[in-house]
Amino acid sequence: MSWLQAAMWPEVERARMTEDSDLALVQRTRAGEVEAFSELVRRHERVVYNLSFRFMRDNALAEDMAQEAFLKAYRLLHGFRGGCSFSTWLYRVTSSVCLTELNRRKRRGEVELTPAHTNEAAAEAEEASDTPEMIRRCVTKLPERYATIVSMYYLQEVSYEDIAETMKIPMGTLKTWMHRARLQLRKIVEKEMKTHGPQ
Amino acid sequence: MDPNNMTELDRMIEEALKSEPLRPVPNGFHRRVEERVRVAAFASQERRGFHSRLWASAVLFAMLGFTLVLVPALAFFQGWTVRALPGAMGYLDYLTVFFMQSWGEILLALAGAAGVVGAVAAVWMIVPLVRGKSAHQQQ
Repeated sequence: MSWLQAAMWPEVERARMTEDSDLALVQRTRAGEVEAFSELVRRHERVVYNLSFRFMRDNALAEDMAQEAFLKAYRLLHGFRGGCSFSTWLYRVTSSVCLTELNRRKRRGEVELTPAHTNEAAAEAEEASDTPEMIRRCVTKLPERYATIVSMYYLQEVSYEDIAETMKIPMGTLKTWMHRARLQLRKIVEKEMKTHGPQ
Repeated sequence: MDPNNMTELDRMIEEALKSEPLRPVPNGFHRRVEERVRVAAFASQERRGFHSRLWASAVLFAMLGFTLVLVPALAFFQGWTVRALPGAMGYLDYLTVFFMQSWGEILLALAGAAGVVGAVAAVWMIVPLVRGKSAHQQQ
């Protein structure tokens, strides 16, 4: 009868959904309620989009990847056992989608992104001439696992515990990886600065 | 990273990564995701329905084929089972003659039944597909 209730009192239904936990919404989605998944998207879209952006460094691509991540999450939802929080699982899916796309682009030699519109291209060029932005772009040149943990770590809303859970590694390993990632990132940034000069 | 061991470059990197602002989600992002999820849900529902209909048809045809093989096989081998029953041999003779005389009509009836079952199965599979396609176009 939940469909009848949703049809007759959409506001009440929406309010009820916003009170539901992620896990309850996952169960409702599994039962066939697309609206429950829509609420999950509403809750996590900001972090998923920003995480995608940190991998792709391009607005349009980040949006595509965030959409793909949600779609993949919807398809794989029956495999979500609830062993970790839904958000953690979703970040893992998002990272995997972005890294797959980055690998595909590397294989095809499309690593340098070329925005389609001139205005966007100009804006991005301006952004890239900025040292902090250049440093942020260097993160994508790190090995996959390091790029993932660095992207998540600096995304304010993801905790250290969540990252360790997402990567399925102990906290000690995460700290070691973070240390190595920082060392490698320093080398990449130094190289970039030598090549292009500090802006 | 230990702040005492940080070089100027380390500080720049840390600052650049920490200061990256959270970008707003593009307009219409939620609607676009929702649309794609609805299409995916519809497609998976159709796929599941199609598979179940396909399996049901396969089972139906297998049962029909089994029956087609079983009837003549029973007619051939029933002598083994009826020989022990009194009067069964006479009945067997009757059946054998009956089958020999009207084998053509039996085959025709079986073929007719198979045709009807096949037609019903085809309609059963095609109608929901056509309905689903038009519903999807309306969306």
